[in-house]
Amino acid sequence: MTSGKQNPKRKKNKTNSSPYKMTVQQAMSLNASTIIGVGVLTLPRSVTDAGHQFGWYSVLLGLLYGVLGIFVVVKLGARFPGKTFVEFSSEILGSQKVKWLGPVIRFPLILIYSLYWALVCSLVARIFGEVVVTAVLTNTPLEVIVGTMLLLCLYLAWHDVEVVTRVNEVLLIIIVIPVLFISLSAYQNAQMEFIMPLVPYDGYWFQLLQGSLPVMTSFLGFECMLMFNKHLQEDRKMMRYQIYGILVPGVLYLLIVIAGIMAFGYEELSRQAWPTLELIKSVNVPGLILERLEAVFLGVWVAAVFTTAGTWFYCANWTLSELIGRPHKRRWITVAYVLLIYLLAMRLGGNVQELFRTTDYAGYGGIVLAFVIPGLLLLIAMARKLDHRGEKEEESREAS
Amino acid sequence: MKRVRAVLPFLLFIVLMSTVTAGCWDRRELEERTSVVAMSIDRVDEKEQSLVKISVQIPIPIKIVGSGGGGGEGGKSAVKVMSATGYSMADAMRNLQQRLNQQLFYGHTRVVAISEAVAREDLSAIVDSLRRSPQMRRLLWMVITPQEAVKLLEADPKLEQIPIVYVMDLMENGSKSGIVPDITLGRWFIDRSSSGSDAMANYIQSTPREVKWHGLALFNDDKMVGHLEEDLSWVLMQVKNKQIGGDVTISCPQNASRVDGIGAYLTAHPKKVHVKTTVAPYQNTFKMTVDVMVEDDIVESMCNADFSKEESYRLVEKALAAEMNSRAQKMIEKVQGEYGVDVFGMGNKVRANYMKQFEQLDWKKEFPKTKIEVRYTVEVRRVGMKMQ
Amino acid sequence: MTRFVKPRKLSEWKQQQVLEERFEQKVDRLPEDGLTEDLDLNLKTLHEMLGYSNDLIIRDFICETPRHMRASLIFVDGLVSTEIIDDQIMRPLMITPVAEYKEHLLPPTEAVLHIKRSVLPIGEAKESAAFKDVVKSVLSGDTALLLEGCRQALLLNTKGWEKRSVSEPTAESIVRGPREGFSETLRVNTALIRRRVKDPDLRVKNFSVGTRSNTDVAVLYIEGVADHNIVEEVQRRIQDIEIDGVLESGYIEQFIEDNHWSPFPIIQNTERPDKAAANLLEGKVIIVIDGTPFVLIAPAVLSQFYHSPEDYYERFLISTLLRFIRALSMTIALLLPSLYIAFSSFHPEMIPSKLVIAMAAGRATVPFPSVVEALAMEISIEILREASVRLPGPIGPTIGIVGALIVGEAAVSAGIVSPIMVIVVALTTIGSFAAPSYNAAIALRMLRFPVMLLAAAFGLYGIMLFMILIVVHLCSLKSFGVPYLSPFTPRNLLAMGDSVIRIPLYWMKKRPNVFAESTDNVRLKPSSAEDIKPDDKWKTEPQTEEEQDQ
Repeated sequence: MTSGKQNPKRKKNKTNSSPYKMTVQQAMSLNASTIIGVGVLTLPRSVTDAGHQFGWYSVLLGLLYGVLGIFVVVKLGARFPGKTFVEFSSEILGSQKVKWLGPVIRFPLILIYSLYWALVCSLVARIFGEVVVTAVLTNTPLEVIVGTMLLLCLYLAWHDVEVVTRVNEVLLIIIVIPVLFISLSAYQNAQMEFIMPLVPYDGYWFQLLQGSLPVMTSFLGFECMLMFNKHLQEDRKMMRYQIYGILVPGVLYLLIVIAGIMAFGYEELSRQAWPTLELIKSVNVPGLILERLEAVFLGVWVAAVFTTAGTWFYCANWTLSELIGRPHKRRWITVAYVLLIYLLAMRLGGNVQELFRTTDYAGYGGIVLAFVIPGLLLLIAMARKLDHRGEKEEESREAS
Repeated sequence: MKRVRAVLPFLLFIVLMSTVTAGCWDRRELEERTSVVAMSIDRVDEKEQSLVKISVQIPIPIKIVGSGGGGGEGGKSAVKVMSATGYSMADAMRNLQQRLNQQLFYGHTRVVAISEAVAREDLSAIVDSLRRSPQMRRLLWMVITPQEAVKLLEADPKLEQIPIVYVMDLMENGSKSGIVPDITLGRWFIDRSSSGSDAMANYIQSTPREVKWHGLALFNDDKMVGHLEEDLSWVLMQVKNKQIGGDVTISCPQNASRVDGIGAYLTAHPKKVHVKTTVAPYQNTFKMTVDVMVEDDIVESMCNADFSKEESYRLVEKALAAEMNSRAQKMIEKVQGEYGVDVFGMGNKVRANYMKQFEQLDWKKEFPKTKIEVRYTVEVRRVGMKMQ
Repeated sequence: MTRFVKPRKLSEWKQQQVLEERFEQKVDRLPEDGLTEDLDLNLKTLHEMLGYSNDLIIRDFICETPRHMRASLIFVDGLVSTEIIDDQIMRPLMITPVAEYKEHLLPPTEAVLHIKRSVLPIGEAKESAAFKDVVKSVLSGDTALLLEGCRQALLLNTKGWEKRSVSEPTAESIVRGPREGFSETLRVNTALIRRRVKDPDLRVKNFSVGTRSNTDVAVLYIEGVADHNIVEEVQRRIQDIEIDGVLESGYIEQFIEDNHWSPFPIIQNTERPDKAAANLLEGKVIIVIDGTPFVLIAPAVLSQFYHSPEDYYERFLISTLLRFIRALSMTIALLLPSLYIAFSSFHPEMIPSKLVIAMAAGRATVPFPSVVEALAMEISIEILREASVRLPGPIGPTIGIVGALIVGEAAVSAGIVSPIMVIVVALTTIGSFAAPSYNAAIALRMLRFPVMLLAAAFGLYGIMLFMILIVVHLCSLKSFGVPYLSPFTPRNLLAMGDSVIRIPLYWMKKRPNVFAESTDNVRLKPSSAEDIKPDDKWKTEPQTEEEQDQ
């Protein structure tokens, strides 16, 4: 190799010594498109159940929690640049003198995370299958729909992290633009009366707080950044872009919920199984070649579900492989894992109501794993003054 | 390992492809579906039981002129109307399906006609079925017919190959030009669900050769309670939806009759409607004040009016406003007094502004006590191509 | 025996050097020992090495200048220009020299130098003492001059075979732009590029690939603009090729591309020198191969496959519109038949009611499901297309029209195919022709079939499954380290201005560092855009008029 000025970007791509680093926009897209998932279809109903026409405040509250959550996750990760959650959790929980302590303590924790990601992935695939089977492909077996979706996840899991980030970056655009279009065009039927009054009075605040809990679960997905931390740049803009990553789904959710409330009123919303689909059904786009847009929306939604389920499965697989100390692209383990998730998806809940309940429980578990545990770990790390910021740079400076 | 890496995606692809060959569960070709374009719901007594009778209008593709296959046969009807009965909607549909060689497909249903008799009983069972089916559109026209609903499907105005397209266009063009209210199934659902409003639906009359929009059917929850004539419906539409409604014909304010003793009339065409609605507490209850400003064009006049003079305008405007006010009064008496249904959506407006009070009310009981005031002002903008 | 060496990471550099040595040994299978002083022996050796081939011509004559001695010209018939040999070589050598030379007779060894210096009016001449070089040169069109008693041969450039002149490119025709296309001769091609980029930093590096064909391959790039990592990678991969013969640029392309299994082309090719030059300026590497008018451009990204050089010649609004149209037509070429299948057999509720009845009527007599109908039609149109390429020139279009029109019409009236299907197939075919790049269009044509099958199984969901599969695949592709989907991901706003849209040229002030070295990225001097602002002209024009009036 000849010497000379090296383009730093390209150098990373070619040599294995320094790992791939995603750009800040990619981190944002990864975050946003992982969050936007199955929640979009039911959110207008679930927030207005408790909060009535003030339901959109719950979305704002959920957004606030989400920002808080990502703040903690990024702060925690920033202390351990270039390390995954699996790697730095043993450092936080273990001690330097007793080498075996960290790995032993972290083992159950990481296993729980991996299983949690597997569970939410299977839930997403299952709910997706239920919607498709109910609304579009009524005769196609659920097994086939869930199976094909998981096959796509498997295909994604065979690739490197950089492919995952790129896929998310591309698909985010494909998801956001049509969803934006649809939620905006739903405003043609909007009635101000349904959302008035804008300020809730005393009795509703508590209900709104209650309602923000299911919303909080719709913002889950950012906890994947614990794993992707390994490939995050040490960049001052990173925190800002990660918060944008929460804001994109937040604004989208807000638009859809407000559109739903204004077009239907909360009482009509409570009668609908998939309010967002109904919203699309009532959109009349004159002069368009297509008369009904549900199938098109569901098509776009496939991409949204894929980015969610795919990233979660990627994390589940990655966590497990790192835990048992094998490279995460070992294919047969991945295949076995995807089979497990498939079986899980088919066993979860007999009817739709049970499925929703399981989703709620998984969501509450997710709140613990995404908000509470990273918070605790951050506190421990701060107390133990564990901080590796800037160390890599020094090393590389010495090396060169 | 490297080779495996290259081959695995292909394996995956093969798996995907094998599902393709294994079955195309939902694939049903266009000609393998019997597309229903309109549906009607009646109630019949059979074997001492009251059964639901649903009828469907099905176009026969090869009979449609210009569709390529075999060329249409002009004289014969291009559609077929079939009926079946059952205990419930789904049961009746199943019975109908048994008599058909292809699967029924409701994705293209554009009109659902319900007979007044059924509507006056209870619509909840029918609505439940319409809500549950993923094939049904939200934007289809739900109409109430005074006689048997199947008569609407059988009516053939001859101007369209598929008779129901005639009804559909009648409604669509009417709602575009503001003569027919834009009440689709989805709109009905919304008004029905909301506790602050009651639903209404279009009322369609038909003879074997003709179809006519004939005002509105008013609902109390799932039951139809009354009917509003065209001219009163137009007032309601102006008040509620800012739609322009139909032309207004009044006797001339200047001269009651023409020379030979025949009445002298003036017809105005509303061009634009400005509505300002306010809701305010009023003696223990609420009052809704609606200020309607109508911009009219004179389309015909038998009056001795000189439209180059300002006074003639004022006179005509005054007469028109008086007519509209009296119609509004009649409408309010009927809707609020006689039927007591809040088709105005006044409850929603009250809730939007006085939510605390609204939550403590039973709006259904409260509404008849409330006061509704409609005040018309008319401005004549144009008088057409003729001045005098 | 061909053996392809996969592109290898730089960390395995050492291993690769071993390979290079082995490669060198193969080339050097010609005798190492140099020429002798005995002319006859030399000629005999050469004859034996070339196996007494009949096209090898050895012309014995008596050389008069600079001294009287035996000499031989060796060349391959047909590769050389006989005019040059007659006029520029034989004539000066055979004329009796002027008096002064007669007096000091040069020794034969120095004669060679003298002939090169002062006798032969030939542009390119070099002396060599090795048979290997002599044979190589003679085979590539040079003429070797061997002198009695001299251990060195003079290799004279007399290349002059019959070649196609520079003519209009046929595969990529555009409305506005130069009419020159590359031809089959390497030097002509590099010259065509050099004429467009008269930059001292333009580097041309020659390689010889193919153990038997010894094909000349030139790698062109602009030093300081092209990312030198990519340049090195390209050169390394070319050197890694161990194949007996390279007959077209496709050989090189298939050996140096990153992913052999992908349906998408990872290296671009062109026969337009202006396109090659534009790509050089963007920082890409051009690979010119002797014997083909198609040069390779590496690295390539997806968005380039719907770009045409014309986009930069037309004004930007028009170009943007054209790019939209091309992107749309490529989408149509890929998806239209499958969308037809999905809509007609899965989601007929999406088609307007009036149309759906007409479509049902059209399909009423068709005995097959729409997927079979679509597959049959698409396959027959592919057959028609392939056949029309092979058909002799003048009747090609006629047969195409006959095939398309008559067969289509007959199929519809026979009730085998619905009229809508004919429209769909026609649009698909036309759409695939709108793609400026032939190999990208082929990829779309190929991928059309699996999407149709998936659409037949799952409707729109199947199409979406396929699209996601393709997106993941595209995201995993890289061309010489450049992500295939850039500038969309990783996002590069600077380069996105020249992707689906084409921003005005005077906005492209910097060269995006997708392919290029980031050190010198100035494309447009900041001042030049302001100088040509239209308002300035507007102000000055009336003044000049006034002056004229006065």
